[in-house]
Amino acid sequence: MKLIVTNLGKQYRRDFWGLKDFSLEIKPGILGLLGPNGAGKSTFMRMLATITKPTDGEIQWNDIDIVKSPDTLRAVLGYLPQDFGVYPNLTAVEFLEYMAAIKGLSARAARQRIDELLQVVNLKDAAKRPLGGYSGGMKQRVGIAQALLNDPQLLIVDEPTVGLDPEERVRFRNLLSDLSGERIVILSTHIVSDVEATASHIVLINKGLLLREAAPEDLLKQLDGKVWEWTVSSDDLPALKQKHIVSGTIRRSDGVDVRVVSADQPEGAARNVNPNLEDAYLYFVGGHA
Amino acid sequence: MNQARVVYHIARADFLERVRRYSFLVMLGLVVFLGYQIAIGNLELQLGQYRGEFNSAWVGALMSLNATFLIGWFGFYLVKNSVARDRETGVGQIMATTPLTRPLYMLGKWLSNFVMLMSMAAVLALAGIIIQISTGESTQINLGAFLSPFFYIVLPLMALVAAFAVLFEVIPFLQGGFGNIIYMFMFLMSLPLIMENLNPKYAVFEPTGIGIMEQDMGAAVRAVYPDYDGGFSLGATNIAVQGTFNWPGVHWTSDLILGRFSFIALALLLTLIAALFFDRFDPSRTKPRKTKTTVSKPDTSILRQAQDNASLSASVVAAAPSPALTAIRLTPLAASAHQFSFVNVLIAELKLLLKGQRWWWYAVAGALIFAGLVTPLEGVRAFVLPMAWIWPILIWSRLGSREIHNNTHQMIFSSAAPLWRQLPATWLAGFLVAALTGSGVAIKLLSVGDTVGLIAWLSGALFIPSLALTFGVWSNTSKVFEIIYLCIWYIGPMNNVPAVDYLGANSNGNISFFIPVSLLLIIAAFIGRTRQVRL
Repeated sequence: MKLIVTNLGKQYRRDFWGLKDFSLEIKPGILGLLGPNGAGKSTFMRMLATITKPTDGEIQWNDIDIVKSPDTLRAVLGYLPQDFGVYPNLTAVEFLEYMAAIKGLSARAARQRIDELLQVVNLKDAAKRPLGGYSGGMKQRVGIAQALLNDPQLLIVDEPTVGLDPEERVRFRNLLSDLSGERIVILSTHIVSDVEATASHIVLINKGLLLREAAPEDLLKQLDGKVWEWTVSSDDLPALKQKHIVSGTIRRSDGVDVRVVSADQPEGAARNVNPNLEDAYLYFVGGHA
Repeated sequence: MNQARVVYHIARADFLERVRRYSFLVMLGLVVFLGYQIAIGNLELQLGQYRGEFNSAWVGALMSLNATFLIGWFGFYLVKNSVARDRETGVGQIMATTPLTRPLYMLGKWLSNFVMLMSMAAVLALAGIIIQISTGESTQINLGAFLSPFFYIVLPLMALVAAFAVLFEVIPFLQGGFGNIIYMFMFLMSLPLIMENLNPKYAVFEPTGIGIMEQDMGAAVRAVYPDYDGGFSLGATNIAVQGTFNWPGVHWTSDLILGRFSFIALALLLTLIAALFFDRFDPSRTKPRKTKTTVSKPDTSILRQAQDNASLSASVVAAAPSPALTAIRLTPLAASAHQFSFVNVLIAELKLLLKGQRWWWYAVAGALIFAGLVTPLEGVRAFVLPMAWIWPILIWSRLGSREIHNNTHQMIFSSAAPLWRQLPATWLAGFLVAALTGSGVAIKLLSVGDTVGLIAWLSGALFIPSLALTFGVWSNTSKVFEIIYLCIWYIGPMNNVPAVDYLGANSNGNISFFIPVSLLLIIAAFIGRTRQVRL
């Protein structure tokens, strides 16, 4: 099972590429996509999900070009878009039955699967209520359930934890980890901790370009000796922010504890600390690599 | 002053948002096409077999009356989306958190609607000048005579239409397709009454202004042609013109002007009434529909089973392990689970179409089926079938546009073979709704051996879902089908125009036209959906 992306590009206007020269080989496991707003994450995912046609390049699923034959991938695809809706008059069960029929599941298999999925996304009690009355988080969970209906080999989830409460977020992260064994899961999010907790591989994107592709530990290794912490006065903080990448601040009675990502020691009092993924994200996406 | 500024900015933002949309260009294109139709003589103004010379007054009246009739009717549908857009984009909720009052918001939306409608009328006015010059009957442009019908006839009516659009948008049961139908009946049904029964004394109180024009033009033609029998036609006519007369235009007295401008006051009043109904984007004010809610005891068996396989991340274990946070292992699907069944998709599509209809919808549909069985043959074709096939209009109008409207398209179009699995099932579900609601009539036609009627029935049942699906797919809105289908239904079956009688109400159903057109529409729907599936 492999997904190979070669020189992929999407041009929206004559002078604007949403994604350009994007090449990647994706194997089973969770691939976390990280990047700022408008980086090209959703464009990339929509092209993988056969919703948007690339302007350039190739996407091969098990050696089949899915730009030419999208149905090959669609049969084994689960997709949760970033922004999606539901049919407000249907209940969760009815909506999932509808999606199961479209995805080609037999009626019996669909019934069992839907029952199980409603347990998994914790919607069993609300299963027979019209979706129009669901909260944002509940609708998001219906979206997650529909993406998993056909037991997909390729699962693409775009900002899946948006609107979920902390408990549901952890639940979903655990579910993703559990699912990832024999399939490819592509997860896009702004929430670095979601990627940190689940991804076996990370891709950093900015301005439509692939910045870095590595395992989380390799990414962190590249930041060894580059993350610093010390205490400054509140008055010095604005100037410090101008000069360095400040990845965290904590107010204290004697000033502000700052966490800075910098190749060189920024101050004499600064002490080296272990990097985390948020530091790495800011360092690479901020163009300091 | 500050309040006027608020109204101005609400109207300005709304107007700019509208004119920068692709649909505005389409709308302008339609108005230009309308102007062209008038220019080439397809839409005429005649009094019996006479017409006025193409001087400024006559051309101004011709363009104004067409604007009155067509923009007054269709313009309503084009502008009735202003509050809905704020609701859909979420801008409304932001506005609701500001000190903006309901009346000011409504006035801003009314003003935007009004400017939109008047901009369409302005395009027709420009076309009118070109028409007068090109016909050459009178080359002298008298701007006063030309513009006065726009000012006194079109402007007050547009103010009224703009207000109705705002009012319909804030009254819950008039917001959707039902409101569109009500407006059409309100507008169209009032016209014949105006034309036939209007007491000349009260012409000034008639909103379209057609009565004022008719009386004034009638007096002018009668002075030249005493044999004039009182006919007045606007639009396509096949009566040959026997002679022309000079009409200098309506002499606008202060009473007439006051009467016409009272419609602007009425429009403002309606807008303020709309403010009373406006929910200020508060979702809690939308009356929830009663639903059967079942709260069952949580089934913990799967959870318990899954706990054995749980794999919690270290951070979660450290925080607070609870069953709810436990990862649950899904049972892998067997290969045999993947069995596509078209019937399953069709049933799902049918459920989706019919879900949400209230009991009285089914009661009326059932009554129409029963009426089809028991009504005499002539009544069945001329009355029961048209009624049976207008009743589900709001169901059909969702065909093809539902996926975009509900934002489910990304999920559905990324499923396997959406073009060959879902789209045919959608069409067939629409066909089955037609077949079901018209089943009483079909049985009746079959029982009396009316083969011609039965073929026309079949042609109609094919045509309706094809038209709905195609317009839905290409326009991504239910509105286009609702408006066009209503027009076809009103002109064909209801007004006995055989060419447009798609269901054989009073003719053989023009099947040689409607069956091929249905097939072409289905092809167009497939092309449109192919384009949607792979942008």
